[in-house]
Amino acid sequence: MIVHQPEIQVQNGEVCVSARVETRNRYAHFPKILFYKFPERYAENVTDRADAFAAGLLLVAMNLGEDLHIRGSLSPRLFYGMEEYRNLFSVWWPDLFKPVNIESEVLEPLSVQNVKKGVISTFSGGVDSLHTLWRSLPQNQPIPGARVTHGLFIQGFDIPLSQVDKFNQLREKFEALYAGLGLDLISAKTNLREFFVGRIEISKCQSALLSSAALTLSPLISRLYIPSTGADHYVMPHGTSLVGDRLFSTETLEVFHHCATYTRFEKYLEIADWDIAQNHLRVCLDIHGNKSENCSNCWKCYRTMIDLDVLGKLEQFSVFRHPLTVMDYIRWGRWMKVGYGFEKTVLKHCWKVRKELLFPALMGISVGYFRDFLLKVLPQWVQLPIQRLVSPPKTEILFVTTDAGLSDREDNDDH
Amino acid sequence: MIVHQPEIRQENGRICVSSRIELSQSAINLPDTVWFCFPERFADKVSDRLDGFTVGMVLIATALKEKLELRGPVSSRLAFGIEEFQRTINLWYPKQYPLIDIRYEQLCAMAPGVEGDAVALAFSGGVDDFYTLWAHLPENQSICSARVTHGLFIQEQGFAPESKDKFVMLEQRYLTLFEQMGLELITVGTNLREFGLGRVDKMLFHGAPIFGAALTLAPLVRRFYISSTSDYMHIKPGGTSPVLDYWLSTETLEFMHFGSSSTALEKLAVLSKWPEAQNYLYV
Repeated sequence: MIVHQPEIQVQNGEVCVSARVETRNRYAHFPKILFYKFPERYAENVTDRADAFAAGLLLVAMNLGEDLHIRGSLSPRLFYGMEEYRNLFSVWWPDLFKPVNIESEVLEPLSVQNVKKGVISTFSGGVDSLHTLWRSLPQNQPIPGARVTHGLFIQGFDIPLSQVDKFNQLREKFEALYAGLGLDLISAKTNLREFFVGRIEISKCQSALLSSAALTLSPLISRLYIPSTGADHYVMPHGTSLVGDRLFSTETLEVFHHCATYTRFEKYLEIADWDIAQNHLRVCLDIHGNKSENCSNCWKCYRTMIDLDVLGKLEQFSVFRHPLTVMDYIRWGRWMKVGYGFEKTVLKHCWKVRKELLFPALMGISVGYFRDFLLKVLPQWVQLPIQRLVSPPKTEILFVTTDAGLSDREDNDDH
Repeated sequence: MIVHQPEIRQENGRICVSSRIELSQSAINLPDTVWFCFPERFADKVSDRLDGFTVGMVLIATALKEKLELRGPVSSRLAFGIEEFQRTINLWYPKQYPLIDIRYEQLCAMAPGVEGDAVALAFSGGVDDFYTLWAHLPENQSICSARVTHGLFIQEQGFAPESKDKFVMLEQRYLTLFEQMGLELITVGTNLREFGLGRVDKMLFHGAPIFGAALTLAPLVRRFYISSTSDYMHIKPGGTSPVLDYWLSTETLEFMHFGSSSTALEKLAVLSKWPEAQNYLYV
């Protein structure tokens, strides 16, 4: 895979940094160009270095088994980190990621003098993003240089490029949130996820996607926080981790996996009384809907509502339906992921603080464990038709764009 | 616990950086000074900042359940990382190592222009260290800025007297080895272990002298490799770890945990073809 020298263009109120991507073989649904777009006012803060493109496409090259050739300036620090990232992922998922060679034509760091001291945190409105933001505000972060100055909200990460209205609604809402805190929210668009579709699931490429978008803004920022997805994951193979994220650092931009030692429940405990969280929390997975609100119906909404309910804080969160009934706890159990300890935390808290919720919590957990038992004992041929009936539709295809101007697609099958 | 502003003094051909320690629990018997010693030629390459003392003293204070007051300059980046370092240790051992309050008198980065340019590793002659060294020699490491220039060989006071003879013997061997490779080996002495003995688990404390010595040499070193003792599939709680080391970096010195993508057997397979390892490996 060859990643050509990136180019910067300003058009239609946006600054676009793009690079042509050439592969040895032809692949289905494979864009020819990778792009990152930002509002035009950030034109002076984007770089035409290849760092973002190299970091973003490494896993794709590994998955395709193609050596990665970078034809633009690459940070030596990032190059070193990418080699370790390659080793890490080929140890964690040897069948999915091959240890390909990485080559760069120009190895040179960005000059420190050219970098402003911004601290950016990726932001999607979820509990992890809100917790990182909350922990990085002046009232909670005594070290001035560690306080967040910017947020990064990316279209193409969990919201497809096609869902323009939904993204714009959320962008306006989050921009107002950041402005109210005296901070700046940067909205970005990228088609990087399209390279992953059908090859690598999002849970394995989160960090590559988030870091690469931030690397495009290298002249503006010296620190990137990727909110951790919880202490329960932090040493497990995962697309965002304490071990992996930092490997996308450069000489001038340090990447942190933020608050890795906090469980999700601890994060809720810290932000539950924060009015901004109460009015802006967005966890919904109803990706097919074009609404920006939480559906209060998907497994992630249920998981969040139950956590907040046992904390006695759900009523304060205007973004969710309430109050909950015993049936809601049973619906929560229906999608429960057993084995991560979430349900035990809920039960423990109910036992200690909310005894009145012990019965519904136990009902939900019983359903969850029964489902988990069935998943273990039923043969695949019985499970698959049931799952086809009850599971939500696949979302990956939504990230395949039709924007012929920038991402011409190869419709040929693999050669 | 109060850790006072470090002092630098020269004695017996060594340069010594030491800091006075005050405990709030008078019943605890600890030395009143913690120190790191280096060869005299590094007199202008040692720092009188508190960075080097912070990691070890955080572990001791945590084990003693004492608040920690650091009366000297500490890197803001390190202070940021120490919080996560503390929380990680607490996550592993919640009862033995509770979260403690840390008060910093002065948070600041090292003055611009005095940061180092060396790339170093801790070297004790074992398989992991030899593998890290091998991987960062010019013939194996294409990135010039990632190549090792220095090694740190640490003698910890607190071991049995016979270990001193062994240290002197190994020191001579490794000085020769590094000289042959065109690299420099720095021998470091410290009494940090005396603070940890019987208070902090040995496996959890073994990184503290390494981090401490490297951070005290911050005017010399910009990157420091910590050799991994376990692979990515078997990350366990320990004093050095791929989930821990990075937090202890400063604005000018970066710790990198290296070697987790290879198993001990894979490392040995590489080293078995390398004459230097064949002649000097000490396990």
